Amino acid sequence: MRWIGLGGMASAAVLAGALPATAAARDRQLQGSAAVTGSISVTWHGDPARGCAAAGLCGYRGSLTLRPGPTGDVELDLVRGRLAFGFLALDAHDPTPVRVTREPAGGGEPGGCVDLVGAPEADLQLVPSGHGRARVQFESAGLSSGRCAGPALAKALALVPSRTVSIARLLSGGAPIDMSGQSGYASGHFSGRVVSTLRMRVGRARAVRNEPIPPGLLPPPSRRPRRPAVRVARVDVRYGVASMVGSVSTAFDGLPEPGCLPFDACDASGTATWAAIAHSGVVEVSGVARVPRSAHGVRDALAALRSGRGVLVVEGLMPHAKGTTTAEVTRPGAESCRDAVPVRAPDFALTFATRRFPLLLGGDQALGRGDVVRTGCPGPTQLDAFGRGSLASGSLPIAALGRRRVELTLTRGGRFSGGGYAGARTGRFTVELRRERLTVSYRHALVEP
Amino acid sequence: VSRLAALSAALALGAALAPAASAQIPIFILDNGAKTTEIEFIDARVTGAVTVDFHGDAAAGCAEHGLCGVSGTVTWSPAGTALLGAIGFRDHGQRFESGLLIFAGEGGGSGITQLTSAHVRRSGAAGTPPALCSDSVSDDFGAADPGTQAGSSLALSLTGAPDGFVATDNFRTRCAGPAQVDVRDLLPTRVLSPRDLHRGRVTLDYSADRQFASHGLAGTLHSDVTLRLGKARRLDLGGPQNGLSEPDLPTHRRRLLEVEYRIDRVMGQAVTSVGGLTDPDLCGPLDSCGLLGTVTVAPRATGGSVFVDASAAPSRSVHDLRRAVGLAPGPRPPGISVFAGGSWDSDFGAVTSSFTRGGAADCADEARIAGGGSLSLAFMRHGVRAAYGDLGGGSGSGSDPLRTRCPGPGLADVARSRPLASGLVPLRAWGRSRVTLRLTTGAAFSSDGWSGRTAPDVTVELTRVRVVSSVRSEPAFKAARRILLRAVPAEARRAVARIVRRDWSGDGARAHGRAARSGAR
Repeated sequence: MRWIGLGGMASAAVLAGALPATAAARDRQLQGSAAVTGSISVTWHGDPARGCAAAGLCGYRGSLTLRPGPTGDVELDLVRGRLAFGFLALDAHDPTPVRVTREPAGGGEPGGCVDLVGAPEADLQLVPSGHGRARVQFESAGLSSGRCAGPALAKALALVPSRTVSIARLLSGGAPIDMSGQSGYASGHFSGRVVSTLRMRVGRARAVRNEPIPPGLLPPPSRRPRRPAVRVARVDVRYGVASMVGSVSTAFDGLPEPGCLPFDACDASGTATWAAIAHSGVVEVSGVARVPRSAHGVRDALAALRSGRGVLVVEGLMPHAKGTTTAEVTRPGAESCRDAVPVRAPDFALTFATRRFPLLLGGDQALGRGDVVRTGCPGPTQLDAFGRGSLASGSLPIAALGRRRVELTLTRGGRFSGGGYAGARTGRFTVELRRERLTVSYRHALVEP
Repeated sequence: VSRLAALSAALALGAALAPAASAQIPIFILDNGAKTTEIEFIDARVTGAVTVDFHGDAAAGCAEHGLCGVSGTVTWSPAGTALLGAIGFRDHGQRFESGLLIFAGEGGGSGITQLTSAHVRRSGAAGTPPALCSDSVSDDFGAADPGTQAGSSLALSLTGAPDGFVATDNFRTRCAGPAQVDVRDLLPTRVLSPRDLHRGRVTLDYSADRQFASHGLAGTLHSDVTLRLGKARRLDLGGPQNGLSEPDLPTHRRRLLEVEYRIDRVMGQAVTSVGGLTDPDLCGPLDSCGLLGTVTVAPRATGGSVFVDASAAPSRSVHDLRRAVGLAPGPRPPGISVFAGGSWDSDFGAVTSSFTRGGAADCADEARIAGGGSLSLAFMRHGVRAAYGDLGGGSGSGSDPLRTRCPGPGLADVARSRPLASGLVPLRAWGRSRVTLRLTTGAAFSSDGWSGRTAPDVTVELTRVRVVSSVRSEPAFKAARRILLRAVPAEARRAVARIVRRDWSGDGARAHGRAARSGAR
């Protein structure tokens, strides 16, 4: 037997369609293409005025140039005839090279780091700005200096000029958008320039015809199940994050040649530690379990979940958690690099469980807010050191669910190798949760064989 | 026997995945020309890398090439998963073996199947620190074509045959350094016996430590690459039992018009004037600051072919198809797809680089254009856009006609938005038996560390040799795709899909043309 998920029910309701016909007629999705030329270059160099000498970063200078492909995809969502949201997705799937040179203070052999970073999400957001116009602004979550020394690039990329265009002109096609311009920026111990020569011409957008939903996917209208549905209890517990304290650390060395060569990592070694603290945030736990007809109240619902007959969904966020990554990279006979950058904590990942109450910090299923391993110094990335998994994880027996106060210890260990570096990772966090709300509801639900 | 089998193997996978290539499915052409006996697919794992340490060497003529102060390392890493397709077939009673080794990379959605990185130092004037050029070039399609070999065994090298279908220079970066032709013979070749091909599960050791001296550079090549082959999976194309035979697939009927031209002559040159960018943050990492020069590509060929295939619903007249390809007067009618391209296997031309730095002579080199050449042709409403050196929107794969041992931009930099040489030929010109394509349109470019402009004047002369019209049943594209998807691992599928999508008008079109021609035999 398998439970029909609550999400599935919700999807079915959406599929059934509840929008009024008139509103739906005026809500349209339009798609088109754009001819794209030009590129976005970001350069940087250690800046004495920003303390690069103390950080050992004055000898570094580097650049990356994002070169989108010649065509982009445009999508516009119109609600009641007005632009609600739109974007122009750039074809930026080819890896973008990052090149950084290292010129040792007082002469000596220079070093060069080259990395290839992806920017698959590089696009231009079209944000309504009133009076029938939309602001076009560049967004790229993926661009970074990779494993090479360099600043966080978000600040620099925010300086790519934005433009305001007429939505009517955008829809009719042929609208030129000139995003070219240049400006200086400063970030961390670096300063540099952003130069955009990006220009595009948007073609005529055409309405997307929604494919009819195959009849088999829609639930039969208002037909009641002949068999009685089973009884389930749903428990929702909201915990506040009273505190989260801890850190993750990586200790790394450059791989032997030739693995270290592209990243200027030969003979380099270092550490990076991200320490984080939070006194706010929420963790939401929802559980559904089959219960007998006689079950009622909080106690029976929790007992059903604790028996392992249900499923738990856990996720959480800590939007105000503070964290700092501190790194030091040394190489024999050369100046050491030391840097510290603020990196906010990722969310707790969406997790499913049956017999444990798990908590995962970060990972693929959580919204990240930066690379917790990288600073302005060269070194491995979070993806190298932690992969796509969480930074740390832990769990309690499911019996702990519903308690007024729970404390979890999240840990992570292991070794990593790749991307020019090899090393060890450790992580330990203590998370104290305080129950803020607990609700229980009973209902009948369908089961499928 | 041509390299038909190897090409078809790649295209058998690729065509089934190419979204726009529904008109021709070379897998079914594969066993029409030669008698294909079997195809083996073998999943493989590649570990290790090939590293070349080099330096300017007086005995090798570094002074002549301006490479005396240069030293460095270039590393080619094909590590990751791979797929070996081996094809056995008979032609005129003789047994041949061919195939294709496709590097599929480490996966993870990076799109990188192989990576070449270089660190090249250039000693400066006395008292100044050496300058460093660092570069990495990724490739989203990497493969080695062993060529067609007599017998039942397959000799497999990591770089493929010198004039193989995939003529990628695996050691090419934007820095100075040896060309693949300088070190190719230092890498071992391993022979897969018929038993190995049928069973798989063998490890090929490509380790080597050897020295070279060529064109001003000398040094050592070190390889610790191993290729571990998994279990072989056989696909007998002729047999109905494997679900791949033609009758098993749904078909649809199309009216086809196939026109073939012989390439009589390719001549002229495309001069690319290049200069290092002025921003030290941009030119510094590639050591291109202050460099000025030209890269002159002069293709020379007296063979090859161009195909022009038009297809439409059977209800359309042959005259409509003839209009679509310029054989009959009038504008191109709608609703007819035209697919065209051309290639030549051997190019006797050369590419010449000549650079100065700060007014003084720097690097100078000349190399033969590797891997032949290709022509992309786009039939539009009133004319045909012909192009030589067309990336087709991709980057960095296949033969790079700009490659010498000097530093400088590659075709991926110069032709990223516009081909190296292109021209618009009126549709009516294709009505004559002899067609002359003048490619005189170049373009400015600005790329990593370099900017410049191309000034081409390339002429391609064609003679029409064949026109065939027919109505044929063709396998429905989606069904073939569905079946073939089961046969190959995901990474290889993605890799092949990429090259076909990107190079269909270039190398892919060239291969497609050969396969199509052969299928019509």
